[in-house]
Amino acid sequence: MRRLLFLIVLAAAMLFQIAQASLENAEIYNSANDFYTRKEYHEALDLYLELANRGIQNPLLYYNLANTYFKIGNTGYAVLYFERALLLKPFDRDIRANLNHVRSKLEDKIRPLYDEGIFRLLRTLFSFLSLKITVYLEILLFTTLIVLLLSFLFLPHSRIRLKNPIIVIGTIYTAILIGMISQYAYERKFPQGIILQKVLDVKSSPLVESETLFTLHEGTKFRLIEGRGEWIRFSTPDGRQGWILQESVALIHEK
Amino acid sequence: MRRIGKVLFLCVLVMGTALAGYADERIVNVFAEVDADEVGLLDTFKLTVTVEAENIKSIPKPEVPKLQYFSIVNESTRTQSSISIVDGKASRRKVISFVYTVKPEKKGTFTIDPVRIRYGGEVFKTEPLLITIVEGRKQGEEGRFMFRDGTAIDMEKLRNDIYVQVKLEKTELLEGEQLFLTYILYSRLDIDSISLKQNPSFPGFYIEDIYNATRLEYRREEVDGRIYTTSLIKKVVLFPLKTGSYAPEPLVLEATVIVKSDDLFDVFGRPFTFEIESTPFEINVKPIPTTTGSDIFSGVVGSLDAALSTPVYTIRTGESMACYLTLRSTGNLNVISDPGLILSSRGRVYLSETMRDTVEEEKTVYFVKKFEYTIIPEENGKLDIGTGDITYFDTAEMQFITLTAEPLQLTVTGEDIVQEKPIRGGRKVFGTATLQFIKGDTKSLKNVTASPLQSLPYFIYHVALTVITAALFLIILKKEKLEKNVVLLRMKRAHSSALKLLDTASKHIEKGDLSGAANITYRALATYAADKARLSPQEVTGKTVGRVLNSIPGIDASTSLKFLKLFETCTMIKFSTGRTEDTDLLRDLRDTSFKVINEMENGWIKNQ
Repeated sequence: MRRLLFLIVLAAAMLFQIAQASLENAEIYNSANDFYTRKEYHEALDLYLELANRGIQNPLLYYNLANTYFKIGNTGYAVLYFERALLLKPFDRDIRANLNHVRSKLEDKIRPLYDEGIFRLLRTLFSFLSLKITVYLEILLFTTLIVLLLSFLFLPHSRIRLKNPIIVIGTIYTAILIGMISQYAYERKFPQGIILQKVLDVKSSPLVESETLFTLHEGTKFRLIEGRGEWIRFSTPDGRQGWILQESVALIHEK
Repeated sequence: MRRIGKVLFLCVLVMGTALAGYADERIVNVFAEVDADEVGLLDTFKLTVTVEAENIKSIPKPEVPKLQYFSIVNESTRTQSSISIVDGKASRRKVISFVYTVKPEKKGTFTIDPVRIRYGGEVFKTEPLLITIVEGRKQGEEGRFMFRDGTAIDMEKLRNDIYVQVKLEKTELLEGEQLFLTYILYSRLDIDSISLKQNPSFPGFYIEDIYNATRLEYRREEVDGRIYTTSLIKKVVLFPLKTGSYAPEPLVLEATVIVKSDDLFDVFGRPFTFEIESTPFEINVKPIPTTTGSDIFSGVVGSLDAALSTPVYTIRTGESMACYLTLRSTGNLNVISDPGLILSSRGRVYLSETMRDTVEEEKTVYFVKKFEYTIIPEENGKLDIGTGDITYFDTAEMQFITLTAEPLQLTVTGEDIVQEKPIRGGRKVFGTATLQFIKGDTKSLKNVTASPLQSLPYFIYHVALTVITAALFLIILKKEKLEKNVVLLRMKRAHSSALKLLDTASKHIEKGDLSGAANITYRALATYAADKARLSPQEVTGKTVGRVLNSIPGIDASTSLKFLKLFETCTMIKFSTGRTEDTDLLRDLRDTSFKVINEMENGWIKNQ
């Protein structure tokens, strides 16, 4: 009994601690907002970064941090944090609008490959289908499937009626599950990143003296193909590939 | 046939004679010598192991002892053989010299241990050799190299007879301008072996290797009235990166040549190994004289041509086509990564591939760089393809020149491809014109997970629900299956159960317990109907029996009527005490029940 009491007290203390930290973080966040409103962007940035360095992953924080970076002219980081915010809140229209706005100011106008007709439609659909959404979809389908199965079990007279919905939901669920696992594995293996350096020469091999294939600018999105020491091989949405130093980029998904 | 026989006989005779003649195989003599008693630490000397043998086809390689303060840099062999016939006995004599070029590594007087040769179970040893190593270079003293036997080589004469000449067109050039170097070996001597010891190095230059000899191809050339054998060693193009004076490191070859002395009896000469350095030269690099127009200088110095080409001149919108931009220059084209194409109407351009080539023309090397672009036109009409400006420094005109390739004109057919809005939409009312303001204040700032896939609640939720559902499925379905089995068993055993009950009824009749017999007959009928209809016997009553019989498959109307009558009679007997003393009636009832149940069973089986 004493042990249980001790555990309850400990849990309560931990919850109190978390709530307290959350309140403190909110205070810093609100102060940063005040600085931003007064157009003191560098002061706002310091406070937002303080929160980010504490390991807080929050779409509000990332959105405001991205806005601040954009205001001080650092479009690479602005794109990075808008992308991070979008990962956490995929349907937020403000994040999407601002990301589009920042992208319109970028030096590199990269148009993805296969960008017509059905490919465009699929791309638009998949742009909303982030891993988070896929997971929620999977949870929804899983719950529905379980409810249907339990109904099948406890309502013997409705079994014939329930058979087809169970098959349909089961098939869709299996497809979503496979898709989700594949998406998760793909994103882990080939994560996306943003170029942070103002101007970046892309090399043909992981050597400083190798040939420069083309030049990219900050804010350009890429997908990592492989890493070799301090070099990474990447591909741009239009299919170009090359080697760059990893210190000049950041990955969207924080490890 | 006779002719063939003669030839065969002659062959056998010759072979027999030869075999008889070459009977005695042996090593006659083994000895070792060095070509100098005293050598410098920077020199090399020759260790020659000579083996004289008779009638041996293959002489084994000598076992050189471990040389602690020396290293072997080269190995070669020389063979002499002769055949003599004495008293009709043929004898083949072979002298093989294993020549090792040895480099000393420490000063002092050292003994080279005996060299061994094993043949036919015997071990042949040479005498140990004494050699003194002194500081510096001994062989080059006063331009002469002394052999052990006192004969000397005039090194200056030797270097006039064999040398590496570097050919270059100019020694003064501009920063970034091409310098073409050719290394040629000139020799009037008999070369035993030759190898590259050191490649030339050119610090401060961008280097393009054009040719490196893998085997020497000799030609004859006259120099100052003397005939030399020449061989091309290396071709290289340099592009100076900075101004200043440079003296590149030479190319070094290590050669073993056969030198002949003035001695009349020295017919074969003797091998001599030494290093040959290419002729030294100095390059003076000057800056580009003018800076006018250097703002967008590409870095190419020399000549430059640019040409555009395409295999197709008519294309549909949305289709891809290849277009090539070819640059040809004496300058360093590596400084140009992607000149880019300019389209007069809407379309997409991708750089697909870059190809490189070199063309050697007399004393100049031209570098060719071919860019392959993929173009996808998006607008109907005429499409002009041009290039961006490339500025280079022309060494002939000594000024910066801006070059553009002759544009191409294509005809684009098909419908225009309309550009659409960005993929990831935003608020359409705002579009991309303005930046949305920051999000407002909050009461608490919590961590939000990007994906709950790895979280514990997600895992627990899935596992718990799956386990519970699976367990319920297992339990309930098993129970249902058991129940089904029981019902089925009852259906199958309905007939035998009913007959058993009728047997019991018979026993009751014999005992005189007529009331009990009536009861049991009633039970037999009710149980049979209930089992067949998958019901409990209590559910079969006078009111329900008609409906129950209708639900049993395979029972015709007459049997059903008989059953109903029987069931009615049994019910009446069961509840009327006055008629239970009629034993014959009960016997008749029992027999009829037997018949009806059998009929029903047959009908049911047929139906099944």
